[in-house]
Amino acid sequence: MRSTVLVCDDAVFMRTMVSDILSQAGFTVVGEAENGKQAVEKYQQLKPDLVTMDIIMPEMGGIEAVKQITQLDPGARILMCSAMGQQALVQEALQAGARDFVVKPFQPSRVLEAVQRVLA
Amino acid sequence: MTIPPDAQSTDSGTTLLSGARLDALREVANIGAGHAATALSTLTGTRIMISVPMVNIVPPGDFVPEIAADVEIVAVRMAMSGDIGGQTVFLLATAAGLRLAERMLRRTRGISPSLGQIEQSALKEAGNILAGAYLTALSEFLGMNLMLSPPSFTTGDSAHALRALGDHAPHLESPILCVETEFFLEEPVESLHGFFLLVPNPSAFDAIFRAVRVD
Repeated sequence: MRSTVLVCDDAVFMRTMVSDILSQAGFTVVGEAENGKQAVEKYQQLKPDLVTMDIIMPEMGGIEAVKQITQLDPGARILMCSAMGQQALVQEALQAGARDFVVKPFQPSRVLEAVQRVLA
Repeated sequence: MTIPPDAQSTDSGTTLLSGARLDALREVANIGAGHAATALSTLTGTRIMISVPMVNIVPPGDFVPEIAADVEIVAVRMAMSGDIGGQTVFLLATAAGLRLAERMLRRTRGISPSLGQIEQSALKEAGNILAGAYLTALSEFLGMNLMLSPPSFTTGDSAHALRALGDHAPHLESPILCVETEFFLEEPVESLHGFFLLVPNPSAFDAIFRAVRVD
């Protein structure tokens, strides 16, 4: 069965790019969220196998969303998508329960490697 | 406006930079352009090079003279904070902006009829990458801490688009740094032309150029 993914990023450009990379690799993108609050709501609704999560977003950022999602589902698999220079925030996200991270701007192969690791 | 190598001051009395200092700033801009090109190449999956043909200091009261007032442009603005306050603006003609957006989205030429939500988002990302790369190079060179806000997007004729930047519009009370930026893209080969403006708060301008200690 194809794994399902929820893509969370405030920039529609980045959401489209991540969705395209994953769809082309055979994943099913079941939803998109443009902030952490939406990600938490859609996680409950869609129960995806994987969430890709931006860090800096309006309303609710990615780290808070990771905390809330892992509280709802300790088995949640979340991959952080961070920009360069956000190492401290990546650490915080990993402590909050995220499984792995990729740094933007990313190559499709890097994203897929990280996704495989998180789903393994 | 290009500052000739021997120019030290203008009629306004503002001390501008010697040719050597401008060269130093252009070198910094070139380093930033290299980083931005690497990031954009990764993002678009094609080879992109960025060159900096010219770095100018535009004196107070003057605006970017290379861009006529009635040209349709897109502008991506970001607020700058940290050791220096101000803003950065990435400007290019709308036609070039649309093309850059298509390349960011890996689309063929002419597929995007207008600047919709996704094209605007792509250009904001390009502006973000460019401003981030230029400011990282500048902050390393100056030993200063510089940060950027999330980008905002404006479009219209250049006079309107710059006015629409609102309180953040270049006040022209102090000189601004104008970095002419030329993108060379491959597969298919084409070039796009834009400007990166660094608009420091009036009080911050001197801080930058005091720090450029090249004699």
